[in-house]
Amino acid sequence: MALELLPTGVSVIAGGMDGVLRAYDDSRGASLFPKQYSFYYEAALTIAGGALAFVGSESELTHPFLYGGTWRIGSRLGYWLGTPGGPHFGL
Amino acid sequence: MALSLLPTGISVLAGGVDGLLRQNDANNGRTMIHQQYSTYYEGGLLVLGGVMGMFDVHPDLFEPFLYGGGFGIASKGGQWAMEQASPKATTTTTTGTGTGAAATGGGRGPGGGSALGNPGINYGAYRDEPAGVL
Repeated sequence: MALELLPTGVSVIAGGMDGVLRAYDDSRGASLFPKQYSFYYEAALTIAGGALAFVGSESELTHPFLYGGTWRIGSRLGYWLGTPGGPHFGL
Repeated sequence: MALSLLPTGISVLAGGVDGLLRQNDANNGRTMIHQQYSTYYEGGLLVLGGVMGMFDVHPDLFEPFLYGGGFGIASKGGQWAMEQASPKATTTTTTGTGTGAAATGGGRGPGGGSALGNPGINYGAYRDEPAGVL
């Protein structure tokens, strides 16, 4: 039972850290893509998930990284596409 | 091969829709978590993933909803927690005739426009920004 909840816990903790980083980005006035630490964190999570899948780790452990990080990157792409007056990654 | 990429595709598409909703939130001044349509979208996806997980659905199809929605909600929760842990500040609008940077900059001077005089992190200041918010 505890092990079944591990992937969800990983996703929640990783997402919580993302939120803290995003708040820190806001506090620094880093609203654009190149300056945001949270963007690189999300990209690193996606890469970590992909790397874990390559080395044959259990999918339950790789998916929170892969889908969570991929989710946020996709979200930034959607924001970029929907930004009026010129696309940017200021999410 | 194509099927193996399906979960990632689902995640990217669902995240893209979330980004569009966030842009819409920002454009309409919905800066608070409970006001944002994107919060309810992420929560809805999370519930949808959980419901799908209770039935005979292949995990590859519902896990992107579950982890994607969970990641988004947890992200907002983390940002909310950091806001709660920090001193609240109120953005002020200075309309005086002084020559200081704060007076000419609409209350966004070196003090960060904080009514509490917090010279450091000012979480009140970004709330009226059109973009770059939660």
